Amino acid sequence: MIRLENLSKTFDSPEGTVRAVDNVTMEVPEGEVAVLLGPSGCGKTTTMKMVNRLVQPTSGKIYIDDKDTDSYDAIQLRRQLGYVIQQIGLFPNMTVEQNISVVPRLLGWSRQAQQTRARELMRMVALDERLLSRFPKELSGGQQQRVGVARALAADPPVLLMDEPFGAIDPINREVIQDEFLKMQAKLKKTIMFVSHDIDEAVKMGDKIAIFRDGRLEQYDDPDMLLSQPANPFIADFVGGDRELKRMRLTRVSAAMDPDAPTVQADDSVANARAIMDQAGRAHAVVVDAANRPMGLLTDRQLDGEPGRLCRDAANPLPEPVTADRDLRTAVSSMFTHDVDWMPVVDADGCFAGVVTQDGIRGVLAESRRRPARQGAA
Amino acid sequence: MAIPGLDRALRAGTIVGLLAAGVVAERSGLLPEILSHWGDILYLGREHIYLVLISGGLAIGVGVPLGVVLTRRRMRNVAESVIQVVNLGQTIPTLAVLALSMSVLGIGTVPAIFALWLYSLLPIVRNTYQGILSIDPAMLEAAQGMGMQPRQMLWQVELPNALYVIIAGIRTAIVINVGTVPLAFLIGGGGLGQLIFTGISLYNTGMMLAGAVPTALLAVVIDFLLGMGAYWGVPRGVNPLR
Repeated sequence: MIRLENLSKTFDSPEGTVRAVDNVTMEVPEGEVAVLLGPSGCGKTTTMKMVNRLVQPTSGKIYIDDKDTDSYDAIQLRRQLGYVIQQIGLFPNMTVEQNISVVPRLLGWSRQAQQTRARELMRMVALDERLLSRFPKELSGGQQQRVGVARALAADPPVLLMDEPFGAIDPINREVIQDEFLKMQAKLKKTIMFVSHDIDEAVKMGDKIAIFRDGRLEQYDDPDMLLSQPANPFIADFVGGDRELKRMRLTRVSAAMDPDAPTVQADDSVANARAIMDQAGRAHAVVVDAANRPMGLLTDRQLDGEPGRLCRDAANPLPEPVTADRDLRTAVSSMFTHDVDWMPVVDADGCFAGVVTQDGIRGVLAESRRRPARQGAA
Repeated sequence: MAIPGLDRALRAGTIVGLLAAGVVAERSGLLPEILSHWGDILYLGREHIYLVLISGGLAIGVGVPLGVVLTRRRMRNVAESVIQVVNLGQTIPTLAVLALSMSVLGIGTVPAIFALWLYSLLPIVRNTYQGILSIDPAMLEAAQGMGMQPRQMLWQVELPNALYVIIAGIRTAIVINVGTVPLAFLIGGGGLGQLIFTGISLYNTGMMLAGAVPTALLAVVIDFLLGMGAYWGVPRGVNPLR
């Protein structure tokens, strides 16, 4: 856990005193990612650098796991905090392995322990062990940044400070590395302070987002609250006019779907299907095969005629199904692509899980918009 | 270095040129004449190398630490002025430095070594200073952020990454040094300059070349050795040659 209390930093400049960070109070809960977000010069990086004392606070306190960081020697403190920067800052004179082992070496680990740890970390960041003997200039940008992350994790610090860590990577690789990092974080549960200027990245990476402006913390909230109830026009503007679309990335299809949509077996008779639909009070039913995979759609109109017909033969084609763990944005995009207003939802094995409709999605978005706003910024 | 092909061609040309010069020297009877000074060449050559090693070694021993000190934070204000003075010093002709040294320290080996030392010092200080200053600040921030102490940053990050530039400075200094040592004879410093200047005075081409050719060879060999040192001694990650 990282807790900042009334943290301020002022610089003297020729135009007078500048308050780079102005009375910031916030807490990053254990095992969560807090993204510090804002335009350049808003104080987010300065705030982070005060945590590892690269910048000395003018006033205020920083606690890590309830221990005042002023009680540590700055050097010792930094060795306990993982640090990743945008420019990566790998040491070109050292091999990948030596780079990764910097902090363990500073901490006096045995050579054996360093080597074992370096191999473990390479697996963790999905890099080939053979790269350990390479030099940074022999790696691609994406590989370098993975090494940068591995280096920060080397001594298994409980807290990570990441200063726009993926900012220098091309957009395609950035998505991949972000996804991998999230997977890693799900296992490692580090407490992370993450600086970004990109709202999309913040929404994706953050359990919480802190929006900074002119050194002040404007709002500190979970991404959905921030997008649905921005505290002021500046934040609304900063998160963008398409913020409802961004919110859709935060919600899984499973949260918006109707799991009780009726199904009928492919080799059921139409008469049987009618009974099921009447009982459920619906005008539609999804036809599933023996393995419970959706394969067609029955509407009550198709039920007229020969009652002995099999559902398989009466069914209409079905829109492309969407997987339950995808986000709503994917579902909506797919709906627009296929020009439909609902889709069947399947689980990871392709079995029918429910249906999602545009109305259902609207409902979910509206519901959290009505939640009472919490006191975000202190 | 930027055009490897050109580099190789120049090297080949040099060798061919040397061979041709050797053939001409042999045919014209110059070579036997030069070799007749063999005893002097050995004795004075040893003196020459001795002057280079002492003055160059002292210049490295003082220049590198001085360059490092100038890059430290508390020296930032004076560093630029010092480097200006160093650059200015480099424009003074070597002969003038020798003369100045003699006027203060008299004649003999000590003033010669002092003048050579002073003149070699300048490129070493300048390259060390600029080599360390040119290190990417992000790298230093990473080092600091990971909890390196200033001394650890210097030895593990700053010096290794500036090493190539520092060695380039040392190379320049030593090659100039070898070429300047003959002038040391003028203030009683000894070395191959004795053959060169005596040869000139006596209009004895053989004697003159007996000093000049070994001096040139010495410069080439030492430059080659330092080049090899830079090639193998600088870590592969920061070595533009590898």
